[in-house]
Formats: sequence, structure tokens, C-alpha cells
Amino acid sequence: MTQIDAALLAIASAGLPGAAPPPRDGWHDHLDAVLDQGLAGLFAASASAGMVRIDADMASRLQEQLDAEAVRAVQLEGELLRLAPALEHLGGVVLKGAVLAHAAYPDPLLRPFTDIDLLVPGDRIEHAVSILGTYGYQRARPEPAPGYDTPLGPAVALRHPGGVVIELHCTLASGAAGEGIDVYEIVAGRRHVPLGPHTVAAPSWEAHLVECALQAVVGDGLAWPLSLRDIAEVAHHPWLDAGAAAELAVRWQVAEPVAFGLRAARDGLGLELPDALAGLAYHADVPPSEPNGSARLRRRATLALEVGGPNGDNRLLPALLGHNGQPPSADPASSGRPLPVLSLQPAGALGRPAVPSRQETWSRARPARQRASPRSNGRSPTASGGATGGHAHGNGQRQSADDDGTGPPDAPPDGSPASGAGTSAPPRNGLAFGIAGAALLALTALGSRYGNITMGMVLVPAAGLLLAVAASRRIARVRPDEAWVGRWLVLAVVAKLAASYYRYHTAFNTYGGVADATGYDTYGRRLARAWLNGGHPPALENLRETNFIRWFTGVVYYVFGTDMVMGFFIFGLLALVGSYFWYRATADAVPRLDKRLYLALVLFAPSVAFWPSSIGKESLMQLGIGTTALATSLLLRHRLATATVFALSGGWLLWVVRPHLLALVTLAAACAYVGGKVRGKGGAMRSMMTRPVGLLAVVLMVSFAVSQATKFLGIEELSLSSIEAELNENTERTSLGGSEFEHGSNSLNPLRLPQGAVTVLLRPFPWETDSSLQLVSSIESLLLAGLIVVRFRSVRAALTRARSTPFLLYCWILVILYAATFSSIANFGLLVRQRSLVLPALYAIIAVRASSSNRAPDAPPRDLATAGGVRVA
Amino acid sequence: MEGWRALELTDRLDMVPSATRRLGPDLLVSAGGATSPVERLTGSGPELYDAFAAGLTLAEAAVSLAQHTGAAVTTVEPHVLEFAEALVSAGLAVPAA
Repeated sequence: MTQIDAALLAIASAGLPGAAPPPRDGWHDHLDAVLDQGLAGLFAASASAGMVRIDADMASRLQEQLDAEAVRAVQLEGELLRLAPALEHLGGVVLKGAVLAHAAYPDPLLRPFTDIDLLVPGDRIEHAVSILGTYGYQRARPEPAPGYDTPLGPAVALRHPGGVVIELHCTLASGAAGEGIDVYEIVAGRRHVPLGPHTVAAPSWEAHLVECALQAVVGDGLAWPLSLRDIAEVAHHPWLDAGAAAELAVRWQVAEPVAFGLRAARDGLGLELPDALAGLAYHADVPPSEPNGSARLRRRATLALEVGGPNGDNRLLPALLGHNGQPPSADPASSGRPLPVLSLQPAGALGRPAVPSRQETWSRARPARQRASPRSNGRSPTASGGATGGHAHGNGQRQSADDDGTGPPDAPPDGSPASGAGTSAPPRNGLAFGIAGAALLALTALGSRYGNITMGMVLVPAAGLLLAVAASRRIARVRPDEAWVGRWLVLAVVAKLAASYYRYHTAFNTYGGVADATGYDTYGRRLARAWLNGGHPPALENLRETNFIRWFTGVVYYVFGTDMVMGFFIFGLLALVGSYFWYRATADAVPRLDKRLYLALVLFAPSVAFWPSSIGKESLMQLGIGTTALATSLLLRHRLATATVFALSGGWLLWVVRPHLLALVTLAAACAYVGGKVRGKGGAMRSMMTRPVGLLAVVLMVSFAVSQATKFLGIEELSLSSIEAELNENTERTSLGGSEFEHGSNSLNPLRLPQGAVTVLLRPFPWETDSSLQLVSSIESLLLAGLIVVRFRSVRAALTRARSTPFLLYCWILVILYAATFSSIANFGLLVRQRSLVLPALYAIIAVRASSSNRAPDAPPRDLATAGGVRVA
Repeated sequence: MEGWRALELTDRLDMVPSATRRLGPDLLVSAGGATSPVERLTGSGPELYDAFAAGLTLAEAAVSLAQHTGAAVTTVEPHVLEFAEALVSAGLAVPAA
């Protein structure tokens, strides 16, 4: 019967207190096994300490293995960083791997890992799969049948195209051993442990000890020396309450396999266990003659080995129980099993420099255990400011600055123990609200068909709210780090409905019904009446520009009833969708964005809420520009297929109503795509393949959009002078209506651009206003100017990052083009309405985060002589 | 390099939140987990990375490096600039505003 290689046990125990030293020579034949079993780090440490001798060839292979393990590990740690919001949302914990490497082992290089193990309660598995799906993970194998991923089933393997595998567990051990384990208790008691400068949620050390023991016995069949080392490291963790761990094992009905795991570590590694754990291990040592003795325990352990061990063998069991089946001494203090001595063989010179003494080396290698320091691996109780209750506080590490400044939902700022109680149930999907909203809209349409034309005034807002709640739930599910966005959307619907009603009120009470909406309403009523009751609809020469709005108003009235207020609501809500598209585009494409500030501005800024909220072009243009912004954001991230869908729909809307706006957004997108640093998820190869396609599409779009715009504006020859002439005509056309102002001539001279930008974005000034609405707009502009001044560093950052973050370039170009062309408007009333369409681009520039906060006073000195290099590892 | 303009010695860098790990004299950095390759900083790269993360300007980092190496600051500065641009290009840092 095979036994675990004693040489490997010797390496696995290297450096542990009281462990016998490994043989000094004879490792050449064992190197393959050392590397295969994940012991390269411990072996290298032993070699560095002069405990074992290796030749140059072995050193080379060892280094190669360490390099590969380190690269793999740091990639997985980076992935944990990326997944942090999802993990917080799911309330899950990270098992083994990175947690043990950083928070249990004295040096993370000693504990390799090749995947990510996550534990979530069984009823959240599907939700977890869904959430991780938004991060690019897919099941490695399809679920054999619905419901197969039961709480006691095997882990669900999820694979990312980038090569990372997540094992999604819903208990600590598959099969019967996992039945009594309270996973909710584990996730409720989760702690944040340091992972370099960041933290990750992990089980308490007591739960982790149970997990390590179960993994060693049930998962690895006591055949994996590193899993015994895991037990040893956690069993001696300074924050472990050994008594609580033993009590946990009993309460979860896994005392027996845990006892076998502890005894295996004790005997295999020569480990001295804390009293409470030694007592538990002792029960696995009770002679067969005693009641409840080891015969039953051995049977259970053997069963565990047969169930869980690789190849079904039980290689270590005979060694642990002693030859002839006799258990070793029951005295924990004398239970250390002496390691066998390997035959000595000649060895070459060491490939790595030896240090003066083993004691010194291990003293250096285990700083946290022997010299507590807040900057150590975090194992010291002093790092938390207290030996008890300071575990989670004691990570002693700053959280990395969250890009959006929001952090994960419901996550405490410092990873405090209270986070354990913050496990959230999976958000509901909002389908019921969506169905209810759609039903109300259907009811409105039905009422309209039967002559009730006013019920839409009530039902449409109600439907809007229900659909917003549904969207809110959806956002919380698929973007757990943005759960707050959904709540803001519901508020935004309320604000938009109020703004629409106030816009209606203003149009008819302040301006006596002299508004564009009145004309659209008239046509809409006639069209709807003709479609509903028969008769001749008013003739529309085409369905472009103003005629399109007339026709679309007719469609709205036909479906939902001929009520003007309801029409305002519908148009306003469509504009709100455009605002959200702006947010989605910017939040996804600009990595360092103050998302809350940006969403607040695009949803609640008075200009954006008020002007595009009536029956008219502004509302549909807000939707169109928002849609094309989202398309641009997707294009800049090489999501060509999805980008095309949004570009065609948003571009079509712009083309139908205001072709010159299509030209502006297309030119801006083209500049961003050509001039920006566009990177796709698929890396250089995918970028190389998709970029020419994107460039071709952009060129075609620009040609089309510009030709349409010139045709719309009546410019026969595209030149600076002809454009300036057109701008002058526009100035003359708009110098009417009562809100006109002294404008002067137009020029495309770049020196005039700042003046144009101020006019378009900030005027009228308070002393230029002649109505209450203009005064409000002026005050808002003053606040906007103040915001620009206060956040000037953000504006500068948006400029310096424009190429590396091409969507910022898009925003800049759009603002510049808008300023150059719309500054020809010589009417403040028109100006404030038109301005509302470009403000989201300006807001994106303002909302960029200027700098990170990870600055420290001094750089650590080191003695390096060569210039630095960076390369793909 | 990325950025609207070339980096200057007066610039600082903001490091992108990343997982890092020492490997002998080198520093491994993963800024995107599964979505981007792990970068390996060699030579004086780890020292410069730490210097930039600590908020030093490129010029200050060059002075620090020159002191350690005994080289002239003017000799070191082009290397520091080149390395900083490599960091930005690799997506590990962005020029601070």
C-alpha cells in the first residue's frame, strides 16, 4: 500500500516549531514530486536556509516553478480585487488559496494556489453564477439538470476566458460531511483579511481550521502534504480560538474527520497542537478496545478517504495509524513522529546563496509570528489594536480607493466584523414590477381605444414608476456595486414627472400656450382621431424633423390617449432613458469617475430635468444623443455588435429629427476612436482584428452624417466660409422671439472658441435675463461655473486622460463642436434648451476623479543600479 | 505612451489599484485580474513603482534613484521618463492631474 512520501512530509513541515529538519541531500529524485505537490516555496525556503542542498539545475527548475506560481497567484489576487464588489454583494467568503497564503503563511510564496474558491450559501448559487457571469465567467460544464447545484453537491466550476477558474462552493465538504455545516454562520462571521494592500472576505479562523481539516481528509484523502501544512498554519494562527474551533467542529457534526485531519497534521508534520485541538485529535487516538474508540473513527476516516481521496486510495492512513493498525501514543506531547532519513547522495554547489543560520532565516521568514508589525502579513493581534475582537479590524491595511467612490453596497468602510452580519439576500429581479408597469400601459392603451383618453395621465406615471422599480431591481442584480443607481432612477422618474408637469404648466400659464408643443399637440390629436375614428389625417410631406415629432405625437396619442399632460410625461420619460444611457456610457468607459456626482447631474440638474421633458424635439434628442453616447462607449470598448444596435437606433433618431446633431456626435465618436487609445477585452489580437472594422464603420458614418448635415443646413460646398455663412444665417434666424441678445459675427477661429463655449454653456448671465425661467437658468449656470472652478483638477485630469480614456475625448470633442456651432444662436430661450443636450458631456468632464489618495511621504530606499523595465510576466 | 501629452519630470503618477507581489528583485503587478496580463517590473522598476505610488514626481524619483545608484541625475532622468511611460502604457498608472 502506498504511503505519502516521507520526504515530502519533511518539506511540508519545514520551519514549523518543533519539526524535525528535512534531510540535507538526496533531493534530486524527489524534485518532481516537490514541484507537483505545491511545495516549491517551502523547498526553496529550506534551500535558502541551507537546510537542503540543491544543484544549479535544481535551482533553475525551482526558480522557474516559483516564477510561474507567483505570476498565477498575483493574477488571481488581481482578480479577487476586481471581483470585490460582487463578493461583498453576495456575502460570500474566499476559502484557502489567497487567504491562507497572505494571512496564515509567513510568506505568500510558500503557499501556491491555482484557482479561486468561493463559499456562498446554497440558495445563492444561481445568483452567484449570474453575478459572476457579468464579470465574464461561465460554467465550465453546463448544469446537468435544474437544481443539480444543491447545497450538498459538488462545487460549481466557473471559467473566465482569461484563464481564471472559480470553484463556487455551497458548503465546506461535499456529501454527508457537509450536511451539518452552517454556511450562513460562516458568511455571517466573515472577516476581512489583508491581501497585500487590499482586503478580502474570509471565514473566521475557527471556521477555516474546520475547512482545512475537512479538505485534508475528505477532499484530499490525506494524500496532499500541503493541506496538512494548511492545518498547521491555521492551528497556530495567533487569532485562532482553538476551543471555539473544536466546539464548531462538534456542533457541525464533523468532529471526527476534523480530528483525523488534526492528527494527520500532528503526526505527519511533527506539529504540536494547542490544547483544545490536541484534545480533539486525541479522540482519534483512542484504542479500539475503548467504547466509541478508533474502530468507528477509522471506519469513518477510511470511508472519507475512499469517498474523497484522489484515486480512492488512502496512502497516509497506515502511516498515521501506525503499522499493524495500532494507533500512536495517546499523549499529544509525545506524538511527534520522527521523519525518516533519506539516503545521502553527492550534490553540487548550491545555486542560491545560503544565509548564516537556519534560525536566522526562519526568524526572517516568519516575522509576523515572532515580531508583530502592522505592516506584516497581518497575523499579529497588535495590528488590530487588540488581541480579541480585533481580527477584522486588524487587517491594518487601507482599502484601495474605489474608482467610483461608492464602494460595494452595504459594505463597511474598514472591513469591520460587522460586515459579517451584512450578508444580503439576492435582490429580487423586479419582473413583477415590470409586468405590472407593462400592464398599466396596456390598460391605458385599452382605455384609449374605448374612449377614455384621460386615464393615461394617472396610469402612465404609475407605469413609469413601476418600470423604474423593475429597472432598479435589475440593476441591483446585474451590477451589485451600483444598487444605489436603481434607487436614484426611481427618484429621477418622480423628478422628471414633476418637471414635465411644471413644463406643461409653464407653457400654458406663463407663455399662454405659445410653445412648440402646442403645434405638435394639434397635429397629434388630428392624426390620432383619424387613425382611431377614420377620416383623413393631416397630410405630412415627409416624416422628417418637425413632421416626425408631429407624427410621433400622434402615435403617442393614438396608443395612450389624446391628453397633452400624458404626452409630456411620455416624452419626458423617454428623455430620462437617454439620461440613463449617458450615465451607463460614461460609468462603463471612464474608470475613475465620481459616479454619484455624475448621475446626480445627469438626472437632477434643472436644465436636464426640465427642458427635455415636453412634447418636442429636445426630449427625443436627449434619448437619441444618450443612445449614441452609449453606442460610442461600447465602440470604444470593442463591443462592436452591441454598439451597432445602439448606434443605428440612436443615429436614426438623430438623423430623422436633427441631422446636424448626428454629424456632431459622429464626428466626436470618430475623433475618439481614431485618436484615443482603444483597447478591447480580447487584448491586442482582438483589437487588431476589430479596429479596422471599427475604423471603416466610423469613416462611413462620418461621411454619411456630415453629408446629411450639410444637406439639412443647405450648405452646398463644405468649407469654413460656407459654415460660417450658415452660422450667420442661424444667428439672424434666432434673433427673434423676445429673448434675443446682441451676438456679433460668427467665426470658426479657435481663438473664439472659449467665448463660444461660455455663451453656449453659461449664458445668460444674471444681468442678461428677462424672465423668471431665464433667471433660474442663469443661477444654475453660475453654480455650474462654480463647480467647474472647484473641480478644475478634474477638468485637467479629463484633458490629460483624454487619449487613454477615449470616451473623455468624445466628451471633449462634443462639447467643443457644440460650442463652435451653437454659439451662433442669438436667443437665450433657444440657447438654454439646446444646451441641455450637451450638458451630460460636460458633466462627465467635471465628474472625473482627479487623483488617488495612495500617497505616502517617502519612497522606500533600495540599492538597485539598472534602469527599470516592465514586461508581461 | 498613453496620455494627451508626453510625461514631464514634474508629473506624478496615480497607480491603478493592483495586486502586487515581490519575486526576488522583481515586482509582479496585476491591475485587471483575468482581464489583463500580469506585468513584471524588473531592474529599478520596483523601486520606481514604489516611488510613484508614494507620490513622488518623476524628477524626485530620478533624484532618489540617482542617489542610490551613484549615477548622475541627468543620466537617470530619461530612464525614469521611459519607465513611467511604460507604466502608463501598460495600464498600471495614469498621469496625475
